[in-house]
Amino acid sequence: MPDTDLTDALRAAQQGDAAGFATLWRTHHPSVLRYLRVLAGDHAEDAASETWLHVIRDLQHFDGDHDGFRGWLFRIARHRGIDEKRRQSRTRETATPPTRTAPDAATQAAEGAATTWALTVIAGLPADQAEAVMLRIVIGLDVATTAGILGKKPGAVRIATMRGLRRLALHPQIRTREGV
Amino acid sequence: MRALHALLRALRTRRKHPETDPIATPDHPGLADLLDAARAPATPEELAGEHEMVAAFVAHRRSAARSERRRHAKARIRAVLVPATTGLALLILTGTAVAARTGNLPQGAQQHAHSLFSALGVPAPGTGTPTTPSPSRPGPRPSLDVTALTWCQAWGGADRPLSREDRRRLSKAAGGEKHIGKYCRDLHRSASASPSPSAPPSTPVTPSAPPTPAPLGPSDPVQPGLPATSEPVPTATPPSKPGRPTHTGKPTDVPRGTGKPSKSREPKKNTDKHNAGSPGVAAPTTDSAERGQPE
Repeated sequence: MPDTDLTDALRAAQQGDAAGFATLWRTHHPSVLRYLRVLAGDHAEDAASETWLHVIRDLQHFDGDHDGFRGWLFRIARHRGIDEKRRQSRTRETATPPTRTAPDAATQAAEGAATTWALTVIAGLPADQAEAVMLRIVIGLDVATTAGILGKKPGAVRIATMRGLRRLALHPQIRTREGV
Repeated sequence: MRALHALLRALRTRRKHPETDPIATPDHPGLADLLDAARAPATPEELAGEHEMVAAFVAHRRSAARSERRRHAKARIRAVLVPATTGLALLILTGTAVAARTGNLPQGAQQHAHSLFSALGVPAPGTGTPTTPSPSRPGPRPSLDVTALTWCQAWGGADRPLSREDRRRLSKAAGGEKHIGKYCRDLHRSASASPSPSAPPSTPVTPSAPPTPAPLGPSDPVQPGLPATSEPVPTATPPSKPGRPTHTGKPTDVPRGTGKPSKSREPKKNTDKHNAGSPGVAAPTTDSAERGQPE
C-alpha cells in the first residue's frame, strides 16, 4: 500500500475512524508481532496487544506522517516487549526455563513455518544484533529511525546490523540451505 | 569459507564507504532465504486479532468522547462560576469599603481601617454616622432617647448622613418618615428638660471622655455624659456631640447646632452648615435631611 494511503488511514484513525485504524493494524501488526517474537519470545502476543492498546490511547496526540507513525509504533512495541521480557524473567524463577529450540516438524509443516523458523534463528543472535536485523533488514526502517528506536547512534546500529547478518551467515542451518 | 570471504569483504567495504550498507542486500543465498522468510506476507493467524483490536479502538473512542463532553461541561460551569464569584467578592469588598468610608464598620474594624486608610478619608470609630451596635457593646445599652437623639443629630445635619439602618430605626421610633422632624424636636425638648438620666450609665465606660470636657464646661453637668454615651472608644471623640450642652442651658425650641462648631475638632464644612441652619429648627432639619438622603 502506498505511503500516502497509509497517511490518509492514519489521519482517519486519528479522527476516530475505525476503518482507518483497521488498515493501520493490518499493515503493521504482522511486523510488530514478528519483531516482538524476536524480542519477547512466547510473550509476543501479549506485548503486541499492549502495544496496540497504547497506540489507541495516544493516537489522538500523535503528530506526524506515516513514516513517523512507524517509528513511534515500534518504539512502543520495543518498550512493551522489554516489559514482557522482564515479567518473563521474574516468573522464570518458578516456571521451567523456556527452551529456545527449533520448531518441531508439525509446526514446520504449518503455514508460516518458514517465517517461524527464520524468526527463531534471528532470535538466537545477541539481543542488540537481533533487534537491529529485524528493524533494519526485515521490517525495513531506515538507519535513523532504527537508531531512534534502539536509543543508539546510527553508526552503532550499522555495526550491530552487520555483525548480526555475518553471524546469521555462519549459522549451521543457513549453511546447510546454502546450496538450495 | 565463503562466509569468511563475505566477512572480510564487508569489513573492507565498511572501511571504504561507511555510508553504504552492502550487507543489507546479501548475496548469500541462505541468508537471503532466511530474510525472505522473515519478511513473508502476513499469515491469517497473525491477522486473527483484528476484530478485537478494532473493537477496543471503537470503545476507547466512545469513552474518550464521553470524557471530552464531561470536560466541556466542566469548563462551561467554570466559565459561569468564576465571574460570579469574582462579582460577589467585588461586591463584598465595595460594601466594606463604603461601610468604612461612612464609619459604619464595627468598632474594632473601623479603628483598624482608620489606621490603615485614614488618608482615604476613613474616619475613626464613632466620628462617622453613629451606629447602634457600637454604644451597645461596651456597656449597658443607653436608653432609646439617647440613641434616638444621636440619630436625630445625624439626621438633622451632622457631617455624615444617617446610615440606612439607623434611618429606618429612627423613622420607626418616630412612627413614620414624616414625623421624624417633630419626633426629634420633642426628643430634644424632653432631653433638655430632664438631662440627667441618660448621663450616668455611660460615663464610667469611657475613661477619656470626662476629663476633657469637664474643664470646658464646669457649669454644665450634662456635657461630659452625653457625648460619652455614643462614643465608647477613648479617642478624641468627646467634642463630637457637644451640641447638646448648649441647649441644655437654654431649653428653647432651638435645640441644636450653635454650640457644636465651637469645639473646633469637626471639619469646617460642618461648621458652615450649622451656622447656616441655626435660625430655625424646622427649616434646617428638613433641608439637611433632603440633602443627606440621596447620598
